[in-house]
Amino acid sequence: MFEGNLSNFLAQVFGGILSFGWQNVVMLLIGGLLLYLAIVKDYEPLLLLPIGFGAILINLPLTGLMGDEGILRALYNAGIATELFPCLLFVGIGAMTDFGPLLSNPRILLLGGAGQFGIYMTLLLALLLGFDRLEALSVGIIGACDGPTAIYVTSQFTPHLLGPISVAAYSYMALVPIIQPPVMRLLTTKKERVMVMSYANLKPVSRTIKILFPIMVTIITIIIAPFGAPLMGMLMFGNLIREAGVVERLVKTAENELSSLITLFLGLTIGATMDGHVFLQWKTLMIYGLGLVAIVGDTAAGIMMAKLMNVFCKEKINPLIGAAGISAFPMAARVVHKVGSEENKQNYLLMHAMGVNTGGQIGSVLAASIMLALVQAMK
Amino acid sequence: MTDMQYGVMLTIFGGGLTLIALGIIVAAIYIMMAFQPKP
Repeated sequence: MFEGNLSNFLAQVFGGILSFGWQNVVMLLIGGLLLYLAIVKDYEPLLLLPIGFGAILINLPLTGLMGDEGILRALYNAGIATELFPCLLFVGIGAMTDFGPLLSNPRILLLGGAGQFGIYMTLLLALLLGFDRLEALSVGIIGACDGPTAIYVTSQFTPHLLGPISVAAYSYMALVPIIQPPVMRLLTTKKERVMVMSYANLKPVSRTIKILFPIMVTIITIIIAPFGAPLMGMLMFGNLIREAGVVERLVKTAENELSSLITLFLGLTIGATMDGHVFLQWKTLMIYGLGLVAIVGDTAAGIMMAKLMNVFCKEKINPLIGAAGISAFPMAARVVHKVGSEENKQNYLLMHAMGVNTGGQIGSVLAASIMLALVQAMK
Repeated sequence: MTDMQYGVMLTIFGGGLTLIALGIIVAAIYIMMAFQPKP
């Protein structure tokens, strides 16, 4: 009896150490790397810090944090399994977004559509590499360059890939300033890069239009793709409360407290899905490779679309702004402006690029919504 | 249907529908802007 009690006692006291495997060690290092990138390198710290710490927590053995009654399981069930967290985050994103530059020059919304090309290119590549249909869809959505959308789609189709896909999506968003400029220089000539875009022909946008815009987009997109209602509806609701101008308190809450709270819980619960036994597979490495392909494809497609539009439009577009058609807002717009002003100090592309970037936000949510609808239809 | 056929169909219909939907939104914006009250 004493021996039974002793072995029980030892298992309780030293069980954590005895259960430590190589996967735990590797994942602790990966969690540490994410913390390093977030804290020291300032790469998307809002998400990578909680994800990194969540990964460390979940890979310490016998904690029960993701067990049936674990606190991280409770958060996961409340916000990820229900897709609530990404939808609420979109309220905050909508409240922070000014669609004014897009409304002044509506044709640039098409560049936001072209910026989603990487989704489909990556989807096809993932299928070629042996991912199954739903996994390929989830991997492809990294090309949306939109964290909440990637989380929303992945948690529906392939929750076991939520960890690697979220980390890939946010890591590559942080690396946009490194990934995009070489692609932009490769696909444009010097003459194109120095092209000045004027602000003289942009129409002023009234408050009425800014209020009607989110309502109009909600109705059109949800009629076309009803499955995207949670995403697009929340994004446009956030924008409506911003533009209405009569609920300042709600706007401040959405921009600050709501976004911060959800980001905190979201990051931690994503990190909690990064159990070493699930995360450490060849598929994870392939997901990172495909994520890079997706961002490069998006950038290239946006630039080529701008060049195509120049064939038909009298008023020319600097093709560089096509690269802002990805949803990494406002990072992509700043990168475009920086590359443009390096080529020609007189060129101020920022507001044009911001318009394209916000168009990319709509494009990514729309592309994901349509994809969700088609998957249901093709079942 | 093979996985690649599924992927190609999704790409054609998904990409096409996205561009069509965006085109409709662009047209709607131009219409709204044409009738907007002077800011």
